[in-house]
Amino acid sequence: MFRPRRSRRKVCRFCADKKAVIDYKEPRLLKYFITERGKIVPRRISGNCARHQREVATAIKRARHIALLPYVATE
Amino acid sequence: MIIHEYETTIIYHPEVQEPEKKRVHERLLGVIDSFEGSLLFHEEWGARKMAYAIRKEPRGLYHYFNFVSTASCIQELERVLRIESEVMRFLTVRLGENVDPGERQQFAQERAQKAAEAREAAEAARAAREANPSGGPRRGPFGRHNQRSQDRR
Repeated sequence: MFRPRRSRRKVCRFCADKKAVIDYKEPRLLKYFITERGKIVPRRISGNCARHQREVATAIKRARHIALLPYVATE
Repeated sequence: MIIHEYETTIIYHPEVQEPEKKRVHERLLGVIDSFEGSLLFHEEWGARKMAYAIRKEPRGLYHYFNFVSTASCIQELERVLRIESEVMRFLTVRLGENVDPGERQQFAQERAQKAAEAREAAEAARAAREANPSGGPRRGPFGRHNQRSQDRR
């Protein structure tokens, strides 16, 4: 039988907390938005709004370049 | 001339010699100077473990520069960085376009001063704690669950 899935509406973390800045030099914050494998978590999972997801993605890519975050993480 | 604000992060080889490092720094400052720029802030993050090995080195010595200069400065700066063999990786990001260098200089100074004051206050607080240790165990950010959360990690 079909049951509509109820999930809580996700709120963008950065819209909710204006003080939080997205900075590529802060890998601890960005770690929250990558999987164990090192992939960027999609918006539908992270709940970020389009603008902040874009900023997070850019920051992660910069952090990868200066080796603060991995391109690929192997367990 | 239009002046922009930039930040550059450089990763040195972890075993870079002190005079070598100093020479590169002076060369970079010379480049910035010759393009009507000035350094706002410089910080050493120390030898950090990197997320992946670069040139088979697991660690790298991070240096962070914040400066104002013209746009053409970046081209020359990055050319120099590519030549320097002790520099393993670098990243330049533009922070602001067409900024007022005097205003940025002042802002950077105030920020540095505030940071120094905060450091001093923390130092004083630590000294006071050591001189007069208050009773009871210290509580971390997790309150009484501190020990447990550390265990889990």
